[in-house]
Amino acid sequence: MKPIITEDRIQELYAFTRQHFVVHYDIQTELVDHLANGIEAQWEEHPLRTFEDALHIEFKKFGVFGFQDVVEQRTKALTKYYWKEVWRLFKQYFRLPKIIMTVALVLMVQMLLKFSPYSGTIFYGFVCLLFLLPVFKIWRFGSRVKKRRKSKEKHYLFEDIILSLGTGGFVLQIPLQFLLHFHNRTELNFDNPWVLWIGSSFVVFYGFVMYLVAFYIPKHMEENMKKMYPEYTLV
Amino acid sequence: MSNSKLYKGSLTTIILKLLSENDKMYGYEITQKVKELTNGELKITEGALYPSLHKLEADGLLDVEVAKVDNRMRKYYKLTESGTKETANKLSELENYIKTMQALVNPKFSLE
Repeated sequence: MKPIITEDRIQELYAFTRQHFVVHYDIQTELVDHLANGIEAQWEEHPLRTFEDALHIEFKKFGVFGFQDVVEQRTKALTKYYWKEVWRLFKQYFRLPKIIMTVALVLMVQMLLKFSPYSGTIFYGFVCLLFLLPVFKIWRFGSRVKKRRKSKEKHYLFEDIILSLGTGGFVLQIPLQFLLHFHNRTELNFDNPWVLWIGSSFVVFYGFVMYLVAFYIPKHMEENMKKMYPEYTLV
Repeated sequence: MSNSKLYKGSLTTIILKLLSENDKMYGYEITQKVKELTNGELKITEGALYPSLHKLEADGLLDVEVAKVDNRMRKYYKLTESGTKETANKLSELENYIKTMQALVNPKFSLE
């Protein structure tokens, strides 16, 4: 009969991965299963080998850097997936039928900027709102994650990717910084048709990206995670 | 892959090919299957296998499901629709490469 590692030993393997700097539960789980399979295979051939010795042999197979490569590559892969999803969904706003909504939104913002006496204030108001709403949403997501981590001590990699906005959060601040800098130097003249077009398109597209990174993608990734790990719940 | 740098570039193709022949597989199973099929000639190292699997997953070529087996969670990989297409591409690329290498290493002379 094939030897099977006990539940207690499985918990030891989880602790072992944590000791070797694997903090995320989803990566730990894959590594624990791999190590357990390897140890069980060794026990079939060498029934007297201790758990510790067998584990040492299995771990050595990961090379001199241990689990480091696996963790780094997994983070890179998930970040890549995140931005691919953002880009894939963003492109949809330029295809039928969504492009009709996109054009309508740009025209609406344009009318508002063109005919309102407070066009400058409206424009900056839009940009600030489009920045602050997602920040608030991500902050709320972060506090839910923190609560769960306290109670269950399970960290999932995708949560960190969402919280850091695909490790590109700073990039999304740049338009805001740029506009605020610009605002201090000169007034935006929406009578100029170029400024009007660029301004209104910017508001709409910046809004789309912020909606994707703060609302759509986190929900989508959370649903994926629930499908994979049914025990996954967010407080 | 520990034994030859020549195999390194083919790791993705090997994984895709194995998954095209099996409905779903987990990491350890892939390493053992390769070892078995090549009579131990080719050993996929753990440090190379998982990064490749994760990359293929991020590229949308593999789908993932997690199931409880024995007393632990196991992550299975299977091909997506685009993964199946990519497998065919990668295999024909590899076949062409083998043909080219054969022509270089063992050229057939003709009198034409």
